[in-house]
Amino acid sequence: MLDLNHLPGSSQEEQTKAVLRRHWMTLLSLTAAFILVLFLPLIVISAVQYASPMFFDDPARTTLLVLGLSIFFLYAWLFLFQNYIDYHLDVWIVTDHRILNIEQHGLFARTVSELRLYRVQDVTAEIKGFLHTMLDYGNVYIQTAGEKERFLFEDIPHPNQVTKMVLDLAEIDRKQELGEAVEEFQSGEA
Amino acid sequence: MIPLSYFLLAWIVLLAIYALLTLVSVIQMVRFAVASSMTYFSTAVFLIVAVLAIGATCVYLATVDWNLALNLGSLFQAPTIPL
Repeated sequence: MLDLNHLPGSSQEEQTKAVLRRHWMTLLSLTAAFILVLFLPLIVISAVQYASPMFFDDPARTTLLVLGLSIFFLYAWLFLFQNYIDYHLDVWIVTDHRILNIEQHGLFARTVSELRLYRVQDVTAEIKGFLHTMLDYGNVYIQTAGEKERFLFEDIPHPNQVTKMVLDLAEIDRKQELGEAVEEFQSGEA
Repeated sequence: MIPLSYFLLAWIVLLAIYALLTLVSVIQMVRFAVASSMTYFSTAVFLIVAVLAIGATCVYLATVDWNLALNLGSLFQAPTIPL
């Protein structure tokens, strides 16, 4: 498991400031779809019962129905869990030195990218839409020097607070980096 | 007429595939997730519900007479009841 106290490539004094995931609201559509799928066999059974009330009086048919229903439920449950894994493993970790972007694509593809905070130039929060505004979640775009592509925190809760936090941490990190560079330069001159 | 036990066999094969997929999913979760109580809780809930569903099905299947056969042709006909 990913231990927040021992992140990959971390120095000893590095501290985790925030672990961000998509807002729980993004899971709601998936859960609703799962519940709808669960109702499908019930609708089919009701239709069969309506058309032929004694259809399931045959014990062989009832057994077939139980076998089918159990497999249907198990695979639907697994599908829901795999989608939850996809949600749960997409994570943005903000430390006092860098931002880690870990993205899961399906079961077997995973992208891990890293951004040093002192390189952050511009951070933008975007809250679009009625639900996003009501529940305070949205995107945060992070622009670095000399790069066209932006780092994106997608559908995270409280994007404005996160924007402020990243900007503050970037400022502190930039000062530290500058201090270290000046020290190196001075020791080089001496 | 197809013996009911053939359907049981098919169910067991599907269940074995399910077990394999579950194992892969749980390994992914345990290996790559951030160590937190939510990770353990969601994995435990998934496994408990799956085990309960399989257990309940097995309890029912233990009561079934596997010598019965199913006539696929009659699947869409209601059983006839003698007057």
